[in-house]
Amino acid sequence: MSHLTPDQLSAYVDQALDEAEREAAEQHLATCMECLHELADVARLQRELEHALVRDPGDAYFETFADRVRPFPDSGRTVHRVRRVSTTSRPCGPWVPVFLPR
Amino acid sequence: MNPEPRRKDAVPPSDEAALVAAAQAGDPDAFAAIVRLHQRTVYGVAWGLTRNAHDADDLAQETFVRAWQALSRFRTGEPLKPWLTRIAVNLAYSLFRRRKRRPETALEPLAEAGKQWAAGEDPAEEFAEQERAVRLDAAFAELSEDHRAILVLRVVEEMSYEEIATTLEIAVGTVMSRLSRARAELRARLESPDAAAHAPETPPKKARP
Repeated sequence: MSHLTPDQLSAYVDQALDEAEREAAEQHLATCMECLHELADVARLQRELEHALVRDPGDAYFETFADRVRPFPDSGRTVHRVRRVSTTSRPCGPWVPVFLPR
Repeated sequence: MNPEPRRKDAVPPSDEAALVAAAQAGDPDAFAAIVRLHQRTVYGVAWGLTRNAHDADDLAQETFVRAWQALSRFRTGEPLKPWLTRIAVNLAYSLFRRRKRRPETALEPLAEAGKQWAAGEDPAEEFAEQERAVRLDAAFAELSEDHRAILVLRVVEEMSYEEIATTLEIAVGTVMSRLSRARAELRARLESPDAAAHAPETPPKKARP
């Protein structure tokens, strides 16, 4: 059997090959150091990506997440647009008094 | 080589369909329940694509705002996850374009690197690993948005090729070749000196008034 293609190695790491393909790949890997080395590289990258891309902000973050989603019915679109626009034309908006002592 | 799944967002389809129907009828509690069911998935995609807490929060919140606004067009009975994920990915693409592909600096990975180094045993080895992690972060930021998105869906959400195909509305064969190319691209950038040029010694952006 010829060397495994990059697509095959990538799909092997993702466990996305069907059974026959996986068996053929494993038979080849059992005797081919070159492909085994490539596979190790792809697998290492996969582990490193998990470390780089996965972040859990914690349960406290998610406890209030849904409450912060605006707009809910009726206040809808308007609230959202106002918030966006207001960032360019400060100071305005109902929250300003919170930050500016009277 | 594949770790155990970090989580399972298994929602019985019938419950989800009932929530969607109620939310479409204007029930804010039903929509809040939908948010709670999918917030971790959406945040995970948002963080993976932006890799900073502020942008991830904005993107995740905005995803649900858009979802609420578009809910009347959502076909009841379809799974929400691919739809919500697609909204998050598309919003991330808009964000990238607004910023003209200016890659984010790797502040959070660096902070994390500091923590781990403090706890490590062999400083030299630890440093080499962390240096590679920083280069990986920079290399990832330089990938095309399609490559970043497909890696996030696979690595963060652990989606199957079929789920990725549904989410991105592409063929399963395209999922396989795109993932393979994204990985090849990333490895090439990690090994090339260009990628190393983005290591922390030379931070790419400093200009802040």
